[in-house]
Amino acid sequence: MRRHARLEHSVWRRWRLGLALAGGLAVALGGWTPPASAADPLEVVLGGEPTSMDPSVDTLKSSLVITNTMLETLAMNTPQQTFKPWLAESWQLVAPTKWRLKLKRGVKFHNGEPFDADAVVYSVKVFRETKGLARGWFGFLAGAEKVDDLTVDLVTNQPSAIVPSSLAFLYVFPPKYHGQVGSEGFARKPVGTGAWRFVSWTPGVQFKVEPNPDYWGKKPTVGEVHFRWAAEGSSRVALLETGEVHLAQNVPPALAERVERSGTARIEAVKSIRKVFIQFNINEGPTKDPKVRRALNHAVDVESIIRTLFRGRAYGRDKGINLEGFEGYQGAKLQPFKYDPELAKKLLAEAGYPNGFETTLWHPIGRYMLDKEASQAIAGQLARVGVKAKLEGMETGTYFGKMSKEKVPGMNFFACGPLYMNPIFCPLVHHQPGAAFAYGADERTAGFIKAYTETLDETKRIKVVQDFEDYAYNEQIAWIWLWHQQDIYGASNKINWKPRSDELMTFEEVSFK
Amino acid sequence: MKAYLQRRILFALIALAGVTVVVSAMLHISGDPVAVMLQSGMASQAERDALRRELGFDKPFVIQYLNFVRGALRGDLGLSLRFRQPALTIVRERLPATFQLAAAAMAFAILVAVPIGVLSAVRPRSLVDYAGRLVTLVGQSIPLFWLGIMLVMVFAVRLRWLPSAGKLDATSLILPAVTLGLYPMARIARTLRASMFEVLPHEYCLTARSKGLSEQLVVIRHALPNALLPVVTVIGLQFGALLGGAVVTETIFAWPGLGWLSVQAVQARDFPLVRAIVAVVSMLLIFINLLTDVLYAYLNPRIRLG
Repeated sequence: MRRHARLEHSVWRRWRLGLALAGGLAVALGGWTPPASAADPLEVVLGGEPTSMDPSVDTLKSSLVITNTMLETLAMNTPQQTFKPWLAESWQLVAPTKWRLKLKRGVKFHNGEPFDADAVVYSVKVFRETKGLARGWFGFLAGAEKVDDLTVDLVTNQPSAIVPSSLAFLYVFPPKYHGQVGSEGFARKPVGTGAWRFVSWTPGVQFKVEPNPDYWGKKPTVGEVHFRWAAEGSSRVALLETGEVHLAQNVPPALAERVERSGTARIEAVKSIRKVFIQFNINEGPTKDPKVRRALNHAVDVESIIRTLFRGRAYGRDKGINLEGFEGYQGAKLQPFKYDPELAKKLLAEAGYPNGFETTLWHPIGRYMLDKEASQAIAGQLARVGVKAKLEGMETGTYFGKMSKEKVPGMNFFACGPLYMNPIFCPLVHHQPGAAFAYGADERTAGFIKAYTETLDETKRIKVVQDFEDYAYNEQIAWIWLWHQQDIYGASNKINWKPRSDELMTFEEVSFK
Repeated sequence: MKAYLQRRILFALIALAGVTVVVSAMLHISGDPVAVMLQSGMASQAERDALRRELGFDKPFVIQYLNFVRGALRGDLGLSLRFRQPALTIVRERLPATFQLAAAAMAFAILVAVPIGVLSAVRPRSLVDYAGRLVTLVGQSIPLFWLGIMLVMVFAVRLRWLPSAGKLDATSLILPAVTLGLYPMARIARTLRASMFEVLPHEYCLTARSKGLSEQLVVIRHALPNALLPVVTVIGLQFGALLGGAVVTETIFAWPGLGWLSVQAVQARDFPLVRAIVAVVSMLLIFINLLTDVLYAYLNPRIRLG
């Protein structure tokens, strides 16, 4: 009997526990209300979380979206793919290897430190010595010298026309604070001169910035901005649909329609600055012959791939090396390669391959939009002109390691998205002998690149870059030109916002409806 | 008992060394971290070599590993390449979220599995049994990512009851815990059902019945505690699996745990961070296994550790 009573007691206890749990759940559920009203902060979901707020350590675009709210650069890239003076008000050449920068007066860091020549000198040093992703980006700089408080000289190793455009990546650190906490401390608690300042960063959960009341420039219309991260595309879309966020980065093309149908959000898509192409190994095998390379350009039906595989969400057919807005851009002057398999076969026969040949197409898996699927489609199209391309797909890390260490035979799938609005950015990576992915490097491209970087006269320089493009595109043909990616964002119907082409998101112009 | 524990700890250390060697070797042959870091292609070969030297990747694999061990003995697992922060700090920040999710998933699994397991064993081939078996079958065969996305579609997007992703308030835990808990729930329920079948015909249950105790009491007082013994082992193993295998769930729900972090670390060839994650998770697994064994021996007087 006693045992019986105890048992009943324990059963009751369990019930009590269950009820308590259920009650707790109900309270918790009731306590959750979806956010979103004009007074609320702007909520943004990005594809990945930054590793560091030090832009010399973490240069990924999804990280810079956050960094850029707090830190500023000497020049600023514009949505028109040009750049303009920013913290540096002007620059001019005072000696062949010396650029003199005049700095903006009266700018202060969030912690009160003044922005001046010392800050620029210090920042150049940080970028030169970093062990992070920006290592080598300012390899052309020998250093910086203070002239007076608001004048600083950037000294280059050789005469360098790249300097002005590269200023758009030269972030300025507060020397005292950064020196004190080091890159390690700065990573978690950044201090800059930007329109917003750091509030908090809960790893994996949320990053908050608030308006900087002492900002020197135009004050943004929204208040706090909150960032969070979801690696999975459908999760970002769900957050947008429920109204938990106002802006979502990288909406998967397959889910774009769902966003449009949601009634609460819309798609904002833009032609990306990122060029996608296939590089040839121009030094060995059948792809050594420019005629073969021309033939393969005619063998790929870019438009049909965009139509079917990308559901129209890419821009083709790409041509040339330069990009709209950059100096020397030739626009309609260059003729795109036409899809013409008969011409391709004819050219192959002329080159001595009437029955085609066997080769390899290397490609990353998951680095660029639909990279694997596109490579498969291209291999299929090449097969129709007799070129049997064996597909070698690799995970991103392995891929970049292999492509940079070896010069693989055949062809490899690549993309270039310039960080500086400068026509030589991609050639420095793909056409400069000794560069990491320089499959298109030969004596002539090396000569053009040297001439471009060392020609300080703008008119002459533009001639050089156009001659280079004519050569690389019409004669050398080191690539199969494919398309530009489309960047797809989701935006809540509650806000006004426009995307940019450079894979960055800015919030200065955001307003609630 | 003491000798047993000593032996287990020795085995644990051997296992730990083995795991870190294997992981380090696999990473080492899978690619060059510097090539991955500098994939924008802006750095010259000289800069690449310099960075490789500064980070110690120019040294032979054995030296790199020994340096890691030397640091690890002092509790220093190195700086993460991508974060430029101590790898251990980063793991420590993410571990609680993973642990919390695993614990919640396990709590959900046990709370659901025990009634299902017991009821379907007590009333075999009844409606309850069939329903229970159907639920466990589904629970074991449904793909995690699909289930996760469906739960989000229903409870977050349609009904707006719960947040769809992230970890901004307490309710964020519910959907990922249910998603992650479904599989262990099914495992536990099936194990319990089978084990109840084994236990119920035993003499002590017959004795209890013949004493005139109600069937309910026989089941709860006499059969269940014995039937739960194998379940303890299953729970231990499953909990370990939850800690190490929550990658998909954490990704779908943007849960700030170790899962997604470890995928990124591997992709970035962030050797120190991957090693730190693997070392910490392996240590936890070894500890949980040990705990399960000790607990099992404690609960089951027929087992003696030695």
